[in-house]
Amino acid sequence: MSREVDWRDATITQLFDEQVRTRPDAVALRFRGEDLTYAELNERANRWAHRLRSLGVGPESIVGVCVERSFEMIVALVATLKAGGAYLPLHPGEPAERFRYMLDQAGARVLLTHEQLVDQLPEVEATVVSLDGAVQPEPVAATLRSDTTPDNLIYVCYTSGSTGQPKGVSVPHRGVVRLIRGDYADLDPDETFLQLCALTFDPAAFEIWGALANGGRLVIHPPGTLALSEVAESLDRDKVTTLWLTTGLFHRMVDAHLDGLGGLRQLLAGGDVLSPAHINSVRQAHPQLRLINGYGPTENSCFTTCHEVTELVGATVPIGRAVTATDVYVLDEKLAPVPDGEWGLLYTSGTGLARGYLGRPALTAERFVADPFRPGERMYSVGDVVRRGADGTLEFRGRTDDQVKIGGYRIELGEIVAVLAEHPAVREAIVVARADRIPGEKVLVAYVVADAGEESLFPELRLLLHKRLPQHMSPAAIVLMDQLPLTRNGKIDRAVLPAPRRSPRDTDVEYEPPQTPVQALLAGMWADALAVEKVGLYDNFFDIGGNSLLAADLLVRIRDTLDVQMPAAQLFFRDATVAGLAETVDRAQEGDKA
Amino acid sequence: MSNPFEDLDGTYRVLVNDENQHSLWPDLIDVPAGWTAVFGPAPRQECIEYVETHWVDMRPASLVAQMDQARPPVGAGVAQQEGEQ
Repeated sequence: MSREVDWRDATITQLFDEQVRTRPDAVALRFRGEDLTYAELNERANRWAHRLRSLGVGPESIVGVCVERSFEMIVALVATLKAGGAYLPLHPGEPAERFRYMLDQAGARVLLTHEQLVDQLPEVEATVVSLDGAVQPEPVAATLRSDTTPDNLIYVCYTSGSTGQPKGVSVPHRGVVRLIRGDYADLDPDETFLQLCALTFDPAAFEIWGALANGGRLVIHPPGTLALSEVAESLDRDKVTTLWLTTGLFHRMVDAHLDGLGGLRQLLAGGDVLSPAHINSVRQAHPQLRLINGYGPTENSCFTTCHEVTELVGATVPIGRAVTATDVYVLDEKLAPVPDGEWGLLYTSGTGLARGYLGRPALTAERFVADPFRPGERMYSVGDVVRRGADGTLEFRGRTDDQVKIGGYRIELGEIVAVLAEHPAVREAIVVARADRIPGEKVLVAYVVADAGEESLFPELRLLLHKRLPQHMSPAAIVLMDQLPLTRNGKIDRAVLPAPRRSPRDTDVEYEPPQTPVQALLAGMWADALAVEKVGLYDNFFDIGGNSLLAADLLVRIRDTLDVQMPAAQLFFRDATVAGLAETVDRAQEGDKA
Repeated sequence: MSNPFEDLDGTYRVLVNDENQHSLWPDLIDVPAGWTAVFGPAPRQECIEYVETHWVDMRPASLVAQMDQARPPVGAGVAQQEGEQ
C-alpha cells in the first residue's frame, strides 16, 4: 500500500498501520502522565491480535470489550481490529440480563476485560480473557495479515429500543473512515484528543479513531466518575486541542469551567439538543475556538450533519449541513422533498450508513429503506423533524416521537422548549408529557435550569408561552431544576425527571377549563403560585389553598408581568376566580388602549 | 408529521437491491430505481414476516462474494461461523 492510501477504500486498521509506519516514535496514547508511542501500542496490540486469532477471531467475529479507560482499553480495540474482528463495548454496570443478551445476540465468543472485573461480570458463554493477566509472551509480534475489507464490521453499538430489547447498530469500517476523514473539523496529526466519552456511545469512535487513524495523540481520561475540575485540569495539562462533549456534560463544563475551554482549538458538542445560552457563552468567551454542533444518529456513524457556530445563535442551535460523503433529505409523508423553510422528516444516505441492526432484519428493513434519489442505495429514516433554512443549514425541531397528542391536539414538544429557551435566564429546558400525574390524562411538564428564582421567572415564562403558543401547548407545571439528570451516555435522562410536586385540585366546584388566552395565562400563574395541578375557571383562590399574602404577591406579579393596573386585594377577594380576574385584566387592558 | 414507514394499518411491499438488502416500502409510492419488489402489496405485518424469513445473511452480497473468495467454503468452519451470526 502506498503512503497515501485512498481513504475511501481503506479500513481503520490500514489507516492505523500506516500511522505506525510513518510515525512510529510519535506519542499515540497518554494515560496518567505516561506515554505510549505508535510503535509501542502497535506491538502490544499485535500480541493480543495473535491471541484473538488463536481464539477464532476473524472478519465478522464480534469481540465483547468490557473495560475501563486505560491503555488496555485501546490495546483491546486495536487488537480486535488487527485480528479482523469487530468490537462490542459493554458497560460493567450493565444489568446482567441485558449484558448477556447483547453478547449472545451479537454471537460474541470472546469477552475482553480487566482482571478485577472478571468476578463481577455476569456468567456468560463467551470465553472471558483478562487483559492485564500475565501477558503471554506471544512469539510473534508482527502485524497480522488481515482480510478485512471496508465493508466488514468495525463495531457494534447497542442503543435502547423504544420497545423491548436493545438494538445492535452494526457499523462497517467504511462508516468510521468517513467519520474521521470528514471536512467538518481539522482532523490531522497535530491534534490531541481527549478520550472521555463512554465506549458504549459512538462519539467514542470519533475520539479514538479521530486521533489514532490520523496520527494524532489520544489522552485517556482516568476511569471512574467524572469530576469536571479534573477534565478542566487535563485540558490544560495535556494540551488537548480537540474535545467532544456530550450535551449534558457540555452544559456543565460551560457553567463551571468556561475559562478552561479556552485552550482548545476545536470543541464539538451534541448528542442531545444544545442550549443556545451555553453555545453563546462559549462563542463570546472564546472567539478563536472552532465551535461545532455535531449531530447524528448512531445508525449513520456518529455524525450526519455539523454546524460550525460562527456567530451568536437565536432560539435554537442549527444542526448545520451534511458532512463528507453524506446526503440529507428533508421529505414529506410521501417521500417528496419539502420546500426550504418547511418542516419535514430527515433521511440520510451515503458512506456513513450502518449495515443495520444486528440479527434484526425486519427492524433494519423498516429504518434503512430504499433511497428514491440514488438508484440502488439505501437511506436511513432518522425520525427527526427538521427544516432547511435559507442559508442551507438544518434546524432541528424534535423527534417524531416527541410529538404527543393532548386533548386531541398534536403537540411538538421541541416547539415549547424553543420558546422557553428564549427567556434570557433559561439555560436549559426540556418538556415532557407525563401520564403519571392525573390517571388517564397526559399533562405537559416543563423542566428548566435557570439563573433566576421561580418567583420572578415563572410569571415571565407564563407570559412568554402565552404570547407565543396556543394555550393547549402551555405546560401544566413548570419545575425549576439545579441541573437536568443525565444517563450514562450523557443524554438527558427523561425517565428519572421528578414528577412535579403539586397537589391535586381539591374543591367542590366543577372544573371548567379556561376559555380565552388570558384566562389560560392566569390559570397557569395561579397553578404555579399555589403548586396545584390545575385551576378551573370558577375555582375560588382561597378554597384551593390561597391566602391573602399569596393573593397580594400574585396580584403584584400579574401587574408586573402584564403591565396592567390591578385592583387592590380587597376587590379581588369579592370574586377570587380566574374568570373574575381575567375580566378585570381585559377591562384594564382595554382601558389602556382607549 | 407521521413516518410513512410506521403506518401499522398501511399496505407495503418488500424491495430488494443488488446487495440483497431489503427495504419495507409504502405501496402507494413508486418503487425507486435499482430496487425490485419481491413481496406484496400486503399488510405491514406480512411484509415484516417475509423480511424476517428471507433476509437471513445481512452482509451485503458483494461482501459475501469477497469473503467466500478469500476463504473458500470448503471446511465446516465457515458454515458454522455464519450459522452463529
